[in-house]
Amino acid sequence: MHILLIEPDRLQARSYASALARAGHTVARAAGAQSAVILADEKMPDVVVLELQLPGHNGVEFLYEFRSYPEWLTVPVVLHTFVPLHELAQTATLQSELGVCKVLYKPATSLAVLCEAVQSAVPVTP
Amino acid sequence: MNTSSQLVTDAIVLARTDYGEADRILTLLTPDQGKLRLMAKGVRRVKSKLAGSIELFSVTDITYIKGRRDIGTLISARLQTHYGRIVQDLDRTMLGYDLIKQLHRATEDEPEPEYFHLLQQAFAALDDPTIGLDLIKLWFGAQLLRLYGHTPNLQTEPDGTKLVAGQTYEFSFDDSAFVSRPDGAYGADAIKFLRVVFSGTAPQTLAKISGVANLTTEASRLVSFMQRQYIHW
Amino acid sequence: MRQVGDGAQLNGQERLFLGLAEQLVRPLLTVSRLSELAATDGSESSLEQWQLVRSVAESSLQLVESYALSLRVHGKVAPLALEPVTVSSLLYDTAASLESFARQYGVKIELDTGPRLQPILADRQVLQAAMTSLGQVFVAAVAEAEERSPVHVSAHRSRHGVVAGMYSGTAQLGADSLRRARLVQGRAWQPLQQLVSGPAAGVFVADSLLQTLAAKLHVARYHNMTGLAATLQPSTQLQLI
Repeated sequence: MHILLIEPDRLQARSYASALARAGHTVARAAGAQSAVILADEKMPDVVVLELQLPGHNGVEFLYEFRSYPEWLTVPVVLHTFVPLHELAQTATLQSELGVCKVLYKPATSLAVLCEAVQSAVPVTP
Repeated sequence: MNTSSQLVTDAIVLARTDYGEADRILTLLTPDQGKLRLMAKGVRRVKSKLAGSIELFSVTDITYIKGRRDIGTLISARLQTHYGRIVQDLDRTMLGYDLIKQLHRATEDEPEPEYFHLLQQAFAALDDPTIGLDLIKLWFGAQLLRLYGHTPNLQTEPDGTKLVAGQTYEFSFDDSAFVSRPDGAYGADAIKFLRVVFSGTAPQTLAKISGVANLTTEASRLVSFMQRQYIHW
Repeated sequence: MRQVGDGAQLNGQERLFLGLAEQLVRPLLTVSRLSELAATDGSESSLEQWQLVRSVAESSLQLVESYALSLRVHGKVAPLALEPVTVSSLLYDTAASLESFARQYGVKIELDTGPRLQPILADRQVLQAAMTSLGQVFVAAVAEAEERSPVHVSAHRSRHGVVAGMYSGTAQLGADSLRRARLVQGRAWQPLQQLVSGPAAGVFVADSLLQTLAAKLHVARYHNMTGLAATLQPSTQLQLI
């Protein structure tokens, strides 16, 4: 699959991208929301792996922007983030309205679990 | 280009949709020209002069020309006020999108100027980290009800008896008024707070009320129920 | 930026520490993930080394996370999510999470939970973070001792409730040890010297977390061992379910 990895930390991005590549995927890396839209434009992703804490425009803004393009409505998004999800008041919105299929808390997610989540991500019903 | 056909106004982005390879259609709320649907050409290209100037959570000065059907063309945009702190917090971002969606759905094509100012005030409140999200949500819901003509009766019971301190009340949704009950959930403080909220007092002022967190929780139940009842989306 | 509502009660220093804790998570995570990757690359000895790096990084990560969690809950930045918790299952998970760290130190973990312990009402994440933080200290303590005895992750019934905690044969804790340690924590280099060298931060992080559950950490005795445990109240309501 072709994965769009949106991760601002270069060193972390390297680990995640390498692990996903070893699992047989191609990976496009973006450090922020704007470059992620450009990369998605260049090659349609099969799965997006997204950190919510991004410089400039945050991951929620990216999700709303991403979902405003009809061709990207069904692309599954795996959240892989430092934000403890119980602190987000509206996690349900992320899942029901923004097509987030899996939420992973980064400090507790090994590379193996990340790869598994990506592998099992299925297209979203808009 | 014939500049006399160009129109200028302030605008807030309500929605953006895709159109072709390079263009976007923006739905904008204005104070004097209702809702506009404008084509923003080439905005998907990073080098477009418009890219970056049509930000969400902003008030933008726009120049546009009317189209033959209901979609005009955006000529230029200049960011006037950007409420940049909203996007520093994920919950504020999500509430911001939610309020925009609520307002977009609650208004038709020719909304009064009050709706523009309501959304602008909401952005200003979201931009202020000292104002709690629950309060902003409550305040916004109450203003939408007010603009829709659904302000509840906060002065008297349905039979005209004035509401008094020391008495407790339950809210009757059928009568849209408070009815005295011995163990009613609403007392004087809660009702006074609702009066202030529905009066259009700015969230910045409401946030300074003592005990605002508890008062907000009590009032929110009532207001969100009323929204579900009276504002059909 | 987090929402600063009426509920947030962190003072300036605490906010600084919370920010610091959340910052430290990042490089530790990088070390851990890079080592996870490197471990699949090299030779047997390189594999061992990388597993050790990963284990150390993960345990540090876990401690920092637990500390940040305690600040968030105390400061009402994060809500307590109370639910019925089966103590034996929670301690099973705790023991599993300590396994890799303990193995690196050559320390055995033994799980020892009594039969049919009543569920208690707690925030599972908070309680597990407390037990894991405590467990790490006990692993380090046993690793330092001349005589290697297992660390017992244990829960049993007492007349006061369900007592859950960590024990070892090498701990030399007296009834007053923890009380004195609390007084000198942050001022003495080794506030719990009878147990382990160094700051024993995991004990105080566990202490802080348990306070949010209104459960006090205390010195406990169990099967000729001393240890540190919390007495948790079973919920009488849950008995009706």
